[in-house]
Amino acid sequence: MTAYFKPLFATLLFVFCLSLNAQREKIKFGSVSLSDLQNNDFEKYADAEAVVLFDGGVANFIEEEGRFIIVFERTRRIKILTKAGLDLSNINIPYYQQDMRNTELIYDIKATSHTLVNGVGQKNELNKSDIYDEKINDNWHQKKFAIPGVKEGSVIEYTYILKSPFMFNLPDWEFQSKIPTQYSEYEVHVVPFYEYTYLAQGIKNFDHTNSYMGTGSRRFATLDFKEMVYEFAMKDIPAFTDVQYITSMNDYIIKMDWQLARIIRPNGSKEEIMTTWDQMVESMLKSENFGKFIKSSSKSVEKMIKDDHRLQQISKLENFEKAEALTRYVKESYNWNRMRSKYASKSVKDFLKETTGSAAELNLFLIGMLRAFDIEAYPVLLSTRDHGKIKTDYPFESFFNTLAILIEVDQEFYLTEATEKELEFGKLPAEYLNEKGLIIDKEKQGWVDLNITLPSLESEDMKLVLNPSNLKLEGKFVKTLTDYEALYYKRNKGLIQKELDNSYDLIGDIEYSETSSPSEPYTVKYEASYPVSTFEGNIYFQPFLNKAPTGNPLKAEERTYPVDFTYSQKKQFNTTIEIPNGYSFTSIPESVQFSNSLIDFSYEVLLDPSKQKLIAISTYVLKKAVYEPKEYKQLRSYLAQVAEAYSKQVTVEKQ
Amino acid sequence: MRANSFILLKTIFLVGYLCCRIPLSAQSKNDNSAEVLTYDKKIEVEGKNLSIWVDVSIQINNPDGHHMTQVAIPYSASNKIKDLNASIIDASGNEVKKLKKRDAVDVSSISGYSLYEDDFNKVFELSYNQYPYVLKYSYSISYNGFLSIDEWTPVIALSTNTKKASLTLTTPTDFKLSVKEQKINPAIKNVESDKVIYKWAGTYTAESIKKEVFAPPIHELIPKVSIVPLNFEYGPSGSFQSWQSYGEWLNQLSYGLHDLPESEKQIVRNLTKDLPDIESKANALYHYLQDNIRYINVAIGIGGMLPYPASYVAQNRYGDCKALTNYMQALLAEAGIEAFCTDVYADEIPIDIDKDFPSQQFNHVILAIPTKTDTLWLETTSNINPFGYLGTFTQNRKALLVNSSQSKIIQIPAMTNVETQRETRIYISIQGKNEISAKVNSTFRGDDFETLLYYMKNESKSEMERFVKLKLPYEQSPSTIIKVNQHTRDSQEITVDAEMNLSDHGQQFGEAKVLNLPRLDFPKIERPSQRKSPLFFPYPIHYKDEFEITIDENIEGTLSNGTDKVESVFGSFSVTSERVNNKIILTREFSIKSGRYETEDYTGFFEFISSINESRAKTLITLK
Repeated sequence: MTAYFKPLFATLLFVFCLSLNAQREKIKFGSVSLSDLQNNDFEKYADAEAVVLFDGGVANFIEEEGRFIIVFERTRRIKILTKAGLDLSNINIPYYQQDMRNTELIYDIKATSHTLVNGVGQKNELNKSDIYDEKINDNWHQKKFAIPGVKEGSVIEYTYILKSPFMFNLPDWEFQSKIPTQYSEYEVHVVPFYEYTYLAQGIKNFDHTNSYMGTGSRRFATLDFKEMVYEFAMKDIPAFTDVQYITSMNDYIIKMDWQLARIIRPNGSKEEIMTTWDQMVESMLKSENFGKFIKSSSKSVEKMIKDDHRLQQISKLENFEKAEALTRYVKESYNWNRMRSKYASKSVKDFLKETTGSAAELNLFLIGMLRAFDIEAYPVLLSTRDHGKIKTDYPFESFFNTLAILIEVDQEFYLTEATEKELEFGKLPAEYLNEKGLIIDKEKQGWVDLNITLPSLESEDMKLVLNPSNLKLEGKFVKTLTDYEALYYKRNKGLIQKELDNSYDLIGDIEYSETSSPSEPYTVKYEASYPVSTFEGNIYFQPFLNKAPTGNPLKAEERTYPVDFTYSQKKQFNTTIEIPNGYSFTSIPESVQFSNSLIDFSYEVLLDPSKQKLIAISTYVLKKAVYEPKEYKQLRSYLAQVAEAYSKQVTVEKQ
Repeated sequence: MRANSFILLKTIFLVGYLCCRIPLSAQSKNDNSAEVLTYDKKIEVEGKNLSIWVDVSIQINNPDGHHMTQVAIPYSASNKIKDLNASIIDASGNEVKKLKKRDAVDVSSISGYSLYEDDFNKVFELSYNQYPYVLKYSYSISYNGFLSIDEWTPVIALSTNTKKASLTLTTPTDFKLSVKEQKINPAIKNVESDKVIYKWAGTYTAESIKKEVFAPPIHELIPKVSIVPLNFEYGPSGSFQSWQSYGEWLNQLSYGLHDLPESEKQIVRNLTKDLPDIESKANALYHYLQDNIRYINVAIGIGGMLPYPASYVAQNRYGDCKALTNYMQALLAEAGIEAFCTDVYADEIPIDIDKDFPSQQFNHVILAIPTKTDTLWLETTSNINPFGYLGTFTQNRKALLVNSSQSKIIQIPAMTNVETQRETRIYISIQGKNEISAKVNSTFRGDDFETLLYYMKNESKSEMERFVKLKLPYEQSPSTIIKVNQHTRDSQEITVDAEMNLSDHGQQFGEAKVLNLPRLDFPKIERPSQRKSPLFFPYPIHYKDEFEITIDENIEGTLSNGTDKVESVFGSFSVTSERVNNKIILTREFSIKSGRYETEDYTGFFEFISSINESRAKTLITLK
């Protein structure tokens, strides 16, 4: 008896049922003709160093040693337009090796250049001995080669086959790259045993899609089946150009991401890989390297308490203090190996012995420890800013790359994590502030907002006296910093020196506060003098010297991407400036104040009743961490007003 | 013979570059978070074999010292690391951890400029969570055939002190060495039966070295011992007796590699047959090379010193610096032009070649072509360089001209302050106090020219404009780049035309507005009390700015400090001006000579720059 499987591909997230009119452009490796080389119609790519003429991928499922593997064949053809484009003929093809049986393979690499020499097409083929294998680390390798015979005007092409046993990793397809692409297509032949979903980013319409049942019957185990073919193609895709202040190129490039959704075994049983967030949470909690790692950590901690004096002391604290102290304990006792991950990659025992671990191991261990001390703590799965944004509609585990912790103490919630020693309890590293995180817990499961509402503070306090004889303002300066601003200055000790170098003359040394706890504000104190301007006997200066911004950081008139400051910021400036008898303030800047949904700004300048002392106080708050493109113009004009207010001068006259 | 030398020659690359593996990028600030307690290296020479044992112990004082627990040991495919051991000793002297074999990982080590190299790093990390503790590790490695014995320094990491370090070298009594000692006590030599034992000892204080502007390379400032065998068998046998003997060996290595295919020979003939002289022929062939061949570094097998033959380059249309130079030499030879390989230490801030220490001190090769009156220099790895242009990468330094028994150290010519001058004309039109526009025409030469040329040829237009705007005067004011032009591909200058809106420039004092001159494009320099390094200007810095300022009749414009002059041994600064009707014509010139000065001379330099800054601040145009 033969069962007949209906080809399954039901859960396509975007369904394009109709084959569009546009024809698919089939090309064959090596089929570059003379007329292709003579074609010089690339004027529309004036700024590009090269153009992808064709980029094609075909993914097939092949039976090998009783299991399916993915065979992915890629062919790329590129026209080199300028000398700068020559580098595109140095090719890297990364691949992954897990162990002997589970490893990707790259083979059948072919590469050719076609160059017009005196009106004749000249072919140059890559020699197999010129293909190198670089070992990047234990798991990642890459094939490297330089295509021979390439010069300006050459057409290069290369093709290779990637064989992969990793069914969860059907190659994704980027239609866009850093150079323009004329035509790009992806063809996927699926077998009924694996069901995939895909997410199309930045794609409104494909220029061509098609799906059809493959001809010919295949057989696996005792089943006859037919494969299903899906085609996606796009034409004339512009180059992806880098923009500053965006989270990650990954968030904006035009591409398709594929994810294994379900495995249907020949006996008809189904294994859901991912259909809902619930199921993902459940499978993580069951995992040896996640849920069980937490449990095992709790047990280890219970044993540790017996002869760890510090832990015994901590157990006597109130719940909040306990949570804080335990977080500090883990940060101080264990080193982060700079690896981000969702799952532990070693046992709790090894982690404790090595005292070093990944973000997953440190955080899962801390959760286990908190629970051992009866504090409610839950893992929060998130994606760091460089890794791209999470799409909450699609339950793809690959969106996430690291972990944080949600703690509940006395009905209050705190977010924390265990890798960054310089941040206080309740604060996440700046690169973690990427919209949302997923709470991994059966009951609490849901999304938690990662964006910080309380801004990082930078405050400048100055107490100065004008010395007309040397035309300097002299006095004391105190800079106070919290959170990310504090971290930034702590990590860059030379920063203050750099700020002062320009125009300040230091009197004595700079005093840095010795904070043992990251929760205290960080202060930097010094005494210095600062030159004032003089013109026709009058003295001029800005109330905050050069500390407050007098230029607009947003230069471009328009912007199509959000402005992302990572975290919201608050700046404060306070000055008192005394002038000697015989001098008077003849003009002082106007006070300005405005407040709206984007910015709060206040600037007040007053004279002391004695008329010999000026007091200036200002606060400005960038209320959002991220400003949308539609807010850009407004934001820019507000910042211009701030800069204008700060650039107004005080005039002092001799009587 | 060739096949045999394959494996041997690779190690030259490694040994020659060992000294460059010191992580110079590490923070230069010493925070005492870690300290190298002992660093002992033993080397033994036996016939063609060189065996090395290394033993290191590092004390980690607090979590900031964690970076020192990440260890990378370089090696090459033919010289494997043996007997690697590592352990952690806690504060009470107990061994609490040991490195497991599988925790030391091999990874490729490929420099940024290479496509592929056959070099690797053995990488591991071993740390502990109770401070202080000591990380100990040791390993050995051996070489079969060597061109260098060692380039040793007590420095493990620039930011970390080394309390005690030693190098012990054991050789047979009849083995001859050549040694260069830099900022370190001379070796103690002992003879024991049939062996000679040399021992160097050193320490290192991280505070003594700092990365500073206008300073010599750090490798000239750290304690260091360089040792080479006087005679060696490395492929063909050779000797470091003299530069001649080394040059002869280099010539032997590349013998017979000018094997151009007939088609290439035909191209050479076609390109050069109608040209009158060496210069024009070399020029045509250089352009042919630039347009048809690209630079790719593949250091595998013969990655050391033996170039790929001309036929390989002709076939693949790429090669590394030695291969491209050899290929170019073959093209020139075919046209009847004699050219010599010239080994050089290429860098904008070069390490000085020690003339009295014949050895492999170079990292690059260029071509020298003697002409009737002069020498032509060709940089074969660049496909944008103007013909005959040396540039800041190779100018003004000693180099080895390889010409068999006539090989010698020569001086590559220095760039003059005409060749490095940036000349800017600024036409400012003041229609109102807040209505000021300018036209700027600037000629970039020297270092700025090289960077701009790179941006022009390799980067997007917007990236290039961003660079240009940074280099133009009034870089804060809104500007539009009108034109960026290199007259021909062989022009050694690029002109930039721009328009600017300077309405926001200047300071408002009541009703009056005061304009100062734009700042000089010059880095900040530290105060004399903070300076550690000597001074080094590898090439002259020279700016000439000519302002023509036209002021509307309704505005009263006055110029103050329109004439000034600051002179010193380091260079000079001057402002001259004249008034023609409603125009102010002002010329500002600033130049610093190339040269080396002691750390003690720094105060004088600091004062010179301070005086210039003071003078600049006083030159003002007041508008009423």
